[in-house]
Amino acid sequence: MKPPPFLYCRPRAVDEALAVLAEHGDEARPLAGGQSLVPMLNHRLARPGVLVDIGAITELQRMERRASDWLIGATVTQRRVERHSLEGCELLSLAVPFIGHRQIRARGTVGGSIAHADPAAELPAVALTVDATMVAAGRDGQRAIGASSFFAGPYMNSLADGEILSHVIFPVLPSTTRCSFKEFARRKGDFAVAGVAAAVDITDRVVSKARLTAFAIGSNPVRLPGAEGAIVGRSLDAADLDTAAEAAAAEIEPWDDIHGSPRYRRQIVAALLQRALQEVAP
Amino acid sequence: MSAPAARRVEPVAEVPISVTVNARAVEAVVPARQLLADFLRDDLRLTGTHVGCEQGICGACTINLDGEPVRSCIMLAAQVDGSSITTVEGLASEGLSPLQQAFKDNHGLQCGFCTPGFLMTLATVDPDEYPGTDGIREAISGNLCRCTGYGGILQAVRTAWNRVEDG
Repeated sequence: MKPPPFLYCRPRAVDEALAVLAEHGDEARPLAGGQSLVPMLNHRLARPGVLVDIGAITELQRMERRASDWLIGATVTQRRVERHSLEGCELLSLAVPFIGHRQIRARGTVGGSIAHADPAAELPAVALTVDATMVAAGRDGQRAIGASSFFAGPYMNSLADGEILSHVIFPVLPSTTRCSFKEFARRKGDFAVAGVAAAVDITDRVVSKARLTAFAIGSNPVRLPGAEGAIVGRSLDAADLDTAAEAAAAEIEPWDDIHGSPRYRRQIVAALLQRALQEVAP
Repeated sequence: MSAPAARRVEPVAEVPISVTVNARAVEAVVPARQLLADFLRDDLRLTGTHVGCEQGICGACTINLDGEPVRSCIMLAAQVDGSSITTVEGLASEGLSPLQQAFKDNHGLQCGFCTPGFLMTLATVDPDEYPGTDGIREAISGNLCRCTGYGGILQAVRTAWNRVEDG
């Protein structure tokens, strides 16, 4: 199908975009790479009256290594992240190749994926795992939102009316942190049936801190505090992996859809977590 | 001196664009809702770009946009203002490009519907980024073929990219 009619504009500055969004209220939607929104327009699942294309706003395309983090502008493409190895941001680099296909990553943006908050998307899981900060721009200035409160349900975020996501701050992890990203999909590039992300600090050959996340199993990605607690202080031997996998399977409440039952998703998460931890083991 | 007020941007239903398509400068006014694939096919009559699923899954509409393979069915024509596009019609100036010839020689197509998308993906990416047969599989993973099967396509790409079979 074709998109329903709408009005379109392509502002050059954040202020200009915010002014249009304020003027048109609920009718207006920002358009970044369009890799989710345009299919939704084609299907007429979205019918915005006004599209505000933020793709030409250069200040949203910044990608900067700062003292202790990376600042990634909302419309930095996934392909750009894929091409640069972001030192200290390994989990992001590991996750990006799983996003759709090359053609999708060429247009799809970091901020667009995070703001879209698809339950099966990779970047929200990365943001939650490394505790990224989402910075919203509104008419009253900027506001920082932590990953643990940014995602507000399937396809929902906690941006206020009239705000756009300006950039995302990914903390640079210490060299003692090892990362792994695993997902299962029926075909490469499809949305995951389930996935896990891991950022694990190893000190003196044991786990000193663990950040584990499961995604594509429910409304939003979730941290796995049970599995995290199970591996802190451990050397990640085979028995530790089993314990962590069991804890993860027990603590998640996967949803049920045509792609997998809760039981099946628990098994996938357990298996993927074992593989991820095997990869980061000292 | 106070900062200048933000330029007022007025949303419009008809969008003027200037874009380079197959090395030709094009000026047009497009409906805001028009998909890039439809602009190429209906307005520029470049019907080599095929529209399959219209939802960004099948890859038949893949074109080269500023050096990247992209799906033209999930882009708006309005978004390409200032860009440069190559479609399958721009692959060869006369006859077939080596990649097209390899598809022909190796039975890399049957009905041909998906072929422009495969060609544009493969002609746009850097082969060095996709080593071996697994690399070729990764490169074409965003393009679906529903009749030939992928064996002939893989062989065609190996030929075009000067690769020996590695399993």
